[in-house]
Order: sequence, then structure tokens, then C-alpha cells
Amino acid sequence: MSYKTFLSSLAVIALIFASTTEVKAEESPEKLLEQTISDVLDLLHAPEQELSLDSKRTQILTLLQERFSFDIIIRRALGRNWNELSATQQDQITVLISDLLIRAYTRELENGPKPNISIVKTDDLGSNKIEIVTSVRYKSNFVSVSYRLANVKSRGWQVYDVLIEGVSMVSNYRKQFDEHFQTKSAADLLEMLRGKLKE
Amino acid sequence: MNSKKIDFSVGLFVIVGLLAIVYMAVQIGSARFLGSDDQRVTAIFTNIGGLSSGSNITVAGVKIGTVGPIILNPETLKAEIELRINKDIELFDDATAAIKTNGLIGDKYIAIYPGTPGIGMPLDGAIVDTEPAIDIEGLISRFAFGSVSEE
Repeated sequence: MSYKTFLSSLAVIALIFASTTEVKAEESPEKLLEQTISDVLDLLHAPEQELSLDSKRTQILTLLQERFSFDIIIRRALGRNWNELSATQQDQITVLISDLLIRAYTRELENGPKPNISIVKTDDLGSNKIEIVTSVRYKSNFVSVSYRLANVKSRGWQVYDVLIEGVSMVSNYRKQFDEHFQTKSAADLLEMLRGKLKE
Repeated sequence: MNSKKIDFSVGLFVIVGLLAIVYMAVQIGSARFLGSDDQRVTAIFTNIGGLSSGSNITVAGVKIGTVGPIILNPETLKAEIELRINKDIELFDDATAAIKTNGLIGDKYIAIYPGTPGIGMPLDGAIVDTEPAIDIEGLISRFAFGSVSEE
């Protein structure tokens, strides 16, 4: 093989490699979300003898954190109460609520059949936000689940709200947090969350 | 002289009556003579479930504005609602709007969360984080359908 042929083959390989990485980088948010959900469900329904429930939850949280911005979700759910928390309390609440969310959803789904999820459509909401509408078939019922994603700098498309049958998870939690902060403090909330995690 | 007095009284009565009618019309129609002290923001919904122009907009249950014209975007098939909100209410880009009903069959209104200062940027454009009106009939029929096809 001549030096010239070797160089051109190298250039072709480099080009192929560059184009595949570009395709991966530009993968659609629908595909990325579908992949994350599919990976989470596979992990959740993996046989018990292979993975304990706690390690499943840890791995699910790590997987979800790639696509779901728990910090943004929780910040939006706390709304104006967020500004009343100290930086330490903000960090602690983010960790505790993320754990609680994972625990709540895995508890419901781990013993049931694997839900069947299909993407219905994607709506451009404007302001760098999109909504991916999915239909979930679970125990012979169809439920509409929409994921709202924002294109966050350096993190790509991130889920910042989930709507089940049109009801926003963030708004639902915000109402509950507002009620809590009417009479109780952030320290009480932290204590309550820790108590719930111990249950 | 007496006739002039009667004419004056009748004229005064008619003018006062007319002013009262104009005042009532303005109050009932919520119209304003000189400009308006509200801000106009668009909110986009997938389903407004019978919400009409003139409905209330609330924050924490307190009325802060009214719904303006409602149009259907022919391309996206979404409802674009003009919200006329009190200028004192500052809106941020994490603002949300939801269509609610007073009781089960009461009037529809829009409940707004104006967003969070310090976290959200001032709102630039429409409110896109909206919750549509809940289709109760649809939910009931789905529930009924689900019970028939239960495995």
C-alpha cells in the first residue's frame, strides 16, 4: 500500500467516525427519551436475583438524571418557596425529593406488568421548549403522558415537567409545597421527607 | 318663571338619568375610557374546554385579569388566548397557566402561577407551560371502556 493510499484510507475512516459521532450528537430528543424510558423499564423489570431493589433504584436514578433535570423540576415545584431555602437546604431537598420520586414510581411499577409506551407526536412549544406526547398502555388502560423538554445549555434536551392526562406534575407538587410552607418551615419539610424515605 | 323651573328640573333629571345609564353600562361591561392598566400576554392551550372571552384570571384565587380574544391557530390547531393581566403582576419564563372550573360544573377560569423571581427570566413571549381543561366526560368514558376490556 502506497503512502498516498494509506493517507486517503485514513481520511475516509476519520470522515466516517466524524459523521457517526455527529449523528449521535444530533440524535432527536424523541429517540433519546424513548431510549432512557426503555432502559429504565428494562432495569426495573430485571430479575430480582440479578439486582437488588436498592441497586435498581440507584441505577434508575443515574439513568434518569441524563434526561430528566430533577434540579429544575424540584426548583419549579417549590416555586417561590425555593428562594426561602438556604443553599444547603436546596441541595438536601433536591436529593431527597429525587429519591422519593424514584421510590414512588418504582414501587408502583415493579410488581406490575411492563408498560407499553408509544410516542404519539412532538409539539414545538416555542422558547426552546418541546412537548413529547406519549401513550402508555398499562394494565389494559391507555394513559396520555406528555414530557416537556427544554434545550438546556451544555445538557441538551432535558425533561422539566411531566403531564399525566394533562395534569402537570410540577403544578401538582407546587400546590402541596405551598400548603406546607403556609404553616411549616423548610426544616420541617426536610424532616418529613427523611421520614417518608425511612418508611 | 314656574314653567322654566319645571323645564330645568326635567332637563336635570334626564341628564342625571343618562349619566347613570352610562355609568351602569361601563361598570357592567368593565370598559375603560382612558387606555388600560393591564399587560397583554398570550397563553397557548391544547384544549380550552369551553372557556370564553371575559372569563376571570386568578392568582391564588384572587382575580388579576380577564381573558381577551381567543383564536384557533389553523396550523397548530391550538387555542391562543390573550390574557389581560394587571400590570402589577410580574411574569417570569417559568410561569404556568391552567384552566380550572369552579366546582364540578361551574364557570371556567384561568389560574396562573406568575413564575419565580431569581430563578426565571422575565417572560418574553407566550406562556407555553399550560395545563388544558380536563375532559371529565372523556375520563369517565375511558374509565368505563377500561373496565370492559380489563384483562
